[in-house]
Amino acid sequence: MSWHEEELEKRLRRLKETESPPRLEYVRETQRRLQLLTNQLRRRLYFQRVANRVAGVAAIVLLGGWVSTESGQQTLQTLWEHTMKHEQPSATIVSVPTPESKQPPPFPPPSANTTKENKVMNPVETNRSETTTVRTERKKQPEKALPPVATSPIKQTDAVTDALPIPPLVKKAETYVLEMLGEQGKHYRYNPSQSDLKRGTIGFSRVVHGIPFYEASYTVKMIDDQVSNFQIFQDSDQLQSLVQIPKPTAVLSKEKAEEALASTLRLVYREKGGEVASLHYESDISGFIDANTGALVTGKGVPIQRDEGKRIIPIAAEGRTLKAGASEETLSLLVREFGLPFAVDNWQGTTSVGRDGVREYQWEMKEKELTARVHENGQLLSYRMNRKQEAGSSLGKNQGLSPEALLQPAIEHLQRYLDKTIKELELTGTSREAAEVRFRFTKLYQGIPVVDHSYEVIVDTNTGEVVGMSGAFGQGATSFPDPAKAISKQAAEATLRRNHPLELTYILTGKKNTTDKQALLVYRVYKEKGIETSIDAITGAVLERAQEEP
Amino acid sequence: MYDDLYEKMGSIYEQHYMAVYCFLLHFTGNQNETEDLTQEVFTRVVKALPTYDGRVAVKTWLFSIAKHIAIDHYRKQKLYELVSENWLMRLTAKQGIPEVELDNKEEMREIKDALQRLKPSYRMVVILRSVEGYSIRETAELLAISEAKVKVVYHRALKKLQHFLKDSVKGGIPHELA
Repeated sequence: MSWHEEELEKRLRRLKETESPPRLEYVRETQRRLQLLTNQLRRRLYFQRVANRVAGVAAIVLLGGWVSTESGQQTLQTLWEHTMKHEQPSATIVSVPTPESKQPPPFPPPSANTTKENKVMNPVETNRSETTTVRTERKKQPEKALPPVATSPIKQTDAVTDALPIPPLVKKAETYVLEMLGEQGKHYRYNPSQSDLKRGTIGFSRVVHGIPFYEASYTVKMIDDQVSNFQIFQDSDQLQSLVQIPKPTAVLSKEKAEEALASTLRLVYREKGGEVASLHYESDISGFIDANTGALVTGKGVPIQRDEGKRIIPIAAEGRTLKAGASEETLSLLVREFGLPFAVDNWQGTTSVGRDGVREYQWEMKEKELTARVHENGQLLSYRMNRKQEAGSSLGKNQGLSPEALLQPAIEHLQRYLDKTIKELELTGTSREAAEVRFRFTKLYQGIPVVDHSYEVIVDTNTGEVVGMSGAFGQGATSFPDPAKAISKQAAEATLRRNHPLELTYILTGKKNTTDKQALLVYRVYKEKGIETSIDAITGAVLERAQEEP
Repeated sequence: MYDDLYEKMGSIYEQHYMAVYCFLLHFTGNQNETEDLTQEVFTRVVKALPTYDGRVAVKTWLFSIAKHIAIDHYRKQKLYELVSENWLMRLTAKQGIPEVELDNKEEMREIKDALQRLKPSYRMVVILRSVEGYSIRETAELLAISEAKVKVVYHRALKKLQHFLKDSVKGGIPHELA
C-alpha cells in the first residue's frame, strides 16, 4: 500500500477518533490545584496592592513634609540645576553594547546649539519655548532607553552575541519590548540563538550578570516591520531563583570547555538504509558542560556518564540465515532455530500485513504468546516471546543473576545470525525490567560504530533463555569509506570550534514542579535555532540537519 | 481588581482544557505524560494570568505556553530516544483482535509512531491541521507563525511522514539519536 498525501491526511484525521480522554481523577486534581493556585495568587496580589498603597501614601507624606522645610527647598533647587547640567542632550535608544552602537544613533541628534543650551541652561533663566522643546524630546523616548546590560568580568558572549551587528528589525523589536516591559526590559537581551530573522521572529533572553537564561525569554514576531505577536516564556518561580544567583567569580575557561566538548567527538558510520555508508564525526552527547567542573551534564544538571556500560565485544559471527515465509513456515523456523515451546501442528494465530509486505505474526499457547516480524523478502526481522501474565509470575531461581552473567548467552545467541563480516559489536545499553534483561548492541565496522545499525537481545532472568531478538538482520551497507581518508580529529575539533562556539548560560537544576532549584552555570553550544549538525569526516564539511529540531 | 481571577481561570480551564490536552496527547503520544503536561500548562497560565494583557486571544496565548512546554518535554525526552523508539518496547498485545481491525490498529500505530518521529514544529502543525482539524489561519494564529509557513511546513511534514511510513516497514531498530 502506498501512502498518497490525500490518503495520509485521511488517516491522520482518523487519529482524532483514537484520542483517549483524560482520566477523571486527573481532571479533578488539576482543577483542585488550579483553584488553590488562583486563590494563592489572588491573596498575594491583594497584599501587594495594599502594601504598595501604604508605601505610596507614606512616601508622599514624608516627601511633602521634607519639601515644606527650607533645607528641602534648597536641596531641590540644587538638584535640579545639577541635573540639567549633566543631562544627555537627547533621549535616543541606547542599544546593547555592540560595535554598531558606535554608529550614529537611529534618532537624529539635537543641533550643537541645542546641546550647548542644554548644558548652560538654567530652568529659571532659559527661554521657555526652547526648554519645552528639549523636554518634549526627552519625554518622547524615556521608556525606550535601554540601559546597558549588566556587565560581568566573564566576557562570555563576546564571540557570539555581542560581536554580531544588530539588524534594524531587531532594533524595532527591542523598542517594542522596552515599551511593553518598561524597566523590566533592561533584564532582557536580543539573542540570535533564539531568533529566526528570516521569519521575523526575534527572541530576547533574560540576562543575569551578563549571562543569558534561555528558559526565561520573550519572542516578538514581526511581519512587514510591524509586531504581530508577542510571546512570553517564563515561570515566575524561575525568575525568583534567578534573582538569588550570586555573581560568578571564576569559571572554567572557554578553551577547557571546548576541549571537553571536543572529547565527545567520535567517528561513526551511518548506513541510512543504503548500500554505501557515510563517515561522520559526531558528538555522542546531548547536554551541557558544567562551567565549574567541565563535566558533561544534562539539562537538569545531572552528570552524564558517557561510556557507562559501553564496551567492545569481539564476536564470531556464523552468518546463519533466518529466512521464513508464511505463518506456519515462520513458526516452524522459530521452533526449530530457537527451540521455542510451541507446537507447530496446532497453532492458532493472527497475521497482519503492513506496507511493503512486512508481516507480523502472533501465536498463542496457554500462558505464552509469540510474535514475529518478517520482511517481504522472507528475512526474519524480530521475534519476541511473552508470558501473558507477567505480573503474576513469581521470580525463579535465576532472579539474582546479574546482567553480566546473562550477557554471554545473549552474545552467543545473537552472533549465530550476524553477517560474517561483523567482527565486533559495541554494547550500548543494558536495562533490567521485571524478569528480563535487555542488551542493546551496535555494529562496529573496523572498530567504528555504525550508529544506525543496531540489535537487541532480551533474556529471561528466570530461565536464562533468550526470549526476544530484533535488529537489522540481513541488511547493511556493503561499502564503507576508508577511515584512513578521514580528516584528523584535530581538524574536526577545529571545525567544531569554528561552527559551534560556546557560550555561557544558566540552567536550573532540580526536579520539575519543585521550588528547590539551583542555578548552574554551563557552557552550551551556540548555534542557530533548531540546527543539528555533524561533520562529514571525508570532506570536513559541516552537515546541517535542520529538519529534526524545533 | 483581582477578584475575578478565580472566575477567569475557571472559564479558561473549562473552555480550553480539552483542546490543550488533545494537542499534547498527539504531540507526546503518551496519556500519562500528557496529563502532567496539561496540568503544567494551566499552572503556568495561573501564574502568568495577571500579566496577560489581552493583545492576543486566550487560546493563542494558551497554545504558546503549551507549545513551549511541549518543546521542553521533547528536549528532555531526546536523550532517551534510543530506548523509546525501540521496536520491541512498543509491542502491544493484540490478543483476540480480528485481522481487519488489527490491520487498522497497526496502521494507526504506525502513523502515531511516524508522527512522533517528526520534529516538533512539523508535528505541531500536522496535529493542529490534520488531526484536530484547525484551518490554516487558525493553525497559524495558534502557533504564532504565518499562514504561508503553515502551508509550507504542513506540506513538508506530510512528505516526511510518507518517508517515515515507507521506512517503518524495513525492520531493524530506528536509531536517530544525534
